[in-house]
Amino acid sequence: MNLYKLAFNNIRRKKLRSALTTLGIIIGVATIVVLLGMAAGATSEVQAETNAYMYDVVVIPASTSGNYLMDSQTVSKIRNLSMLYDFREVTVFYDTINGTRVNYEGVNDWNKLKLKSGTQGVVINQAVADKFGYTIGSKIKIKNKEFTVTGISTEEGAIYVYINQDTAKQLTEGKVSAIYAQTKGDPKTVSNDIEKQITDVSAETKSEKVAKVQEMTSQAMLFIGFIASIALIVGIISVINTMLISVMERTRELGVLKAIGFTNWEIKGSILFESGLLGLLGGIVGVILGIVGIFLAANMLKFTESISGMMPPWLIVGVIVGVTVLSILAGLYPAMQASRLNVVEALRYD
Amino acid sequence: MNSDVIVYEVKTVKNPYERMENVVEIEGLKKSYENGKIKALDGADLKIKKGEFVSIIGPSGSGKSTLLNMLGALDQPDEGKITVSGHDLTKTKDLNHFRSKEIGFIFQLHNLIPNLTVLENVEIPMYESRLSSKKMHERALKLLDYVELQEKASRKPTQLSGGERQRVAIARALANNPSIILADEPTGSLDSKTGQIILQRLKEIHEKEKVTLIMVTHDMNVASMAERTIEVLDGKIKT
Repeated sequence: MNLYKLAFNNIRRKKLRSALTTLGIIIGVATIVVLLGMAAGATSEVQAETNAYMYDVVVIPASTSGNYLMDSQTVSKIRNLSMLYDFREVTVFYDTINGTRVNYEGVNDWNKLKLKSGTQGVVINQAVADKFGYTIGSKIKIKNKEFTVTGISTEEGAIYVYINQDTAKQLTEGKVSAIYAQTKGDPKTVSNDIEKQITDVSAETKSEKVAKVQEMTSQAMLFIGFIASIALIVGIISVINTMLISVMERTRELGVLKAIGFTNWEIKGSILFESGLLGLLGGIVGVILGIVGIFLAANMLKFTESISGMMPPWLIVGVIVGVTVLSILAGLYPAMQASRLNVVEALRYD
Repeated sequence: MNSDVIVYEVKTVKNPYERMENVVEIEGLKKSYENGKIKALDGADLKIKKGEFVSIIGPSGSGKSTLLNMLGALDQPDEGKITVSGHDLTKTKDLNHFRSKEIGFIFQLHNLIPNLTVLENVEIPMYESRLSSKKMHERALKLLDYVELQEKASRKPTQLSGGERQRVAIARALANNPSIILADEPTGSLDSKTGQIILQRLKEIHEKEKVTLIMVTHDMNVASMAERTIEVLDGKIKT
C-alpha cells in the first residue's frame, strides 16, 4: 500500500467524474491526432509528389506579366537554351460550358491519373459529370472543337477536364503554363540565367519549390495544431478543476496523512501522480480514437494509401507524452494547495 | 480484544525505573489565534511520565485540543518549551518523521481513509517506516487480530459500525509502535456502551504495553479511567 495506490483508488472512487475529466482530454487528443495526422499525411504526400514530379527547374510566367500562359515564342526560346534538357510541358487553361468556368489540364503521364471508369484520352472528373450530366461517350466542346468523353477520374473538387498535353497545347496555339527541365550545371545559376535571358518568366529550382511546399505545409500543421490544442486546453483545465475539487473533498483525509507522518512532498507527489494518470489514460484512449478517426477520414476522403503517413510515431508518442506532462503541470496548483493545508484545520474540516 | 497478540514489537517501558522519566515536559507554553485575540494556551506547564495514562479535561474552548495538537507536533507554540520523547518540538525540523515514529493518533471521528480497505488503513502509517510490503501486511493483520477485526480486513470503513471503525483507528495508531498515544475524544462520536468498550481496549493496551496514553475528553466518567487527570481552564493547566 502506498500513496500511489491511494491516487489510483481516488480515480476509481469517483469513476464518473474521472471519466468526464478524461473525456475532455480524450476529445482534445483525438482531435489533435486526426487533424495533425491528416496534415502529416497530406504533407508527406505533397512532398513526395513534389520530389517525384519536379525537374531541376520549372519555368512559369512571371506574376508581374499578368499572363498565366507562356506564348509559343517564349516556349521556343526556353527550349532552345543550351543549359536545359529533358523538357516536360504542362498546359492548363480554362473555357466555359454553358457559362460555367471549366479547367482543362494537359496530361503527360496518364498513369498518374486515377480513373473511376473508362479510358484515358478525354477524362472528366466527378464534378464535371455531376454539373453537366456528362458520362462516357458524351460530346464535349473545348475551344469550339468537339471531343468525346472517354473516362471519369476519381478526382473531386474543382471542375477539371484532362486531355493529352499535345492536344491542350494545340488548342491554346502552342501556349504552355509551365516548363519543367533538367539543367546542365547548378540549377540555381541556370534559373538566374533563364530569368536574365528571357523576359516575363520566372524560374524556380526544385529545392526552392520543395522548401516552399515544406514551409506551406509546416504553416498549415502549425495552424491546425493550434486549433486542435484549444480542445486539449479545455481538457487540461478540467483536470485542474477536478484535482482542486478532489483536494477540497479530501481535505480531512490529507490532514490525516500529514498527521501520521507523510511529508508535503509525498502529498504533492500523490496529487501529481493522480493528475498525470488522468492525462495518460486520456492520452492513450484519445490516440486510439484518433487512429480510428484517421481510418474513417482516410476512407471517406479516399486517402487510404496515405494512412501510414498519417500516423507518424512522433505524433503518437508526442501526444501521449505531451498530454501526460501537461496533466502533471495541471496538477501543480492543486498539489501546492494540498501540501499547504494546515493539519489542525484539515482535521477539523467537514 | 485478543490479548494473546503481541502488539508492540519494541517494549515501550523496559523497566520500572524508566517510569520515573518524563516523556512530556512543557514549560510556559503559549498559543494564541486571530492575532492574539484568542489565547488558547496561556503559559501552560506540564510533565507526564513515561507509561502514564493521563486524561486532559476541560470545557469547550479551554485549550485542551490545542495542547494535544502541540503534543502531537501538529501545531507550533508561540512561546514556551515543549519536549516530547526527548525531542524539543520547537527545534525539531522533521516533525513528519517525529509524528510517524513517536505518536499514534486516535481522533474523535476515527478519520479512516474511505477508499482504502481496513487493512490498508492500518498499513498506511507503516509506509513511512520503510518496511517491506510483506512485513507491513503481516503487522497490519496482527494488529487487526488484536482489535478482533481480522475477518473484516478487506472491507471498506463505510461497511463497519462506529465502534469497529474506532477499533481500526486504534490498530492504525499502534502501527509504528509509538511511544505515546494521543486520543482526542475517542468516544465522542460513539454511544456509551461502544464508548466503554473502546476505553477498555485503550486501557488494556496501556496496561499491557505500558505505553504513554494521553486522552482528551470533556466527560468526567471517561477521564476517571486514567491514572491522572489534568484540567485545562482558560489556557492554563491545573493538576
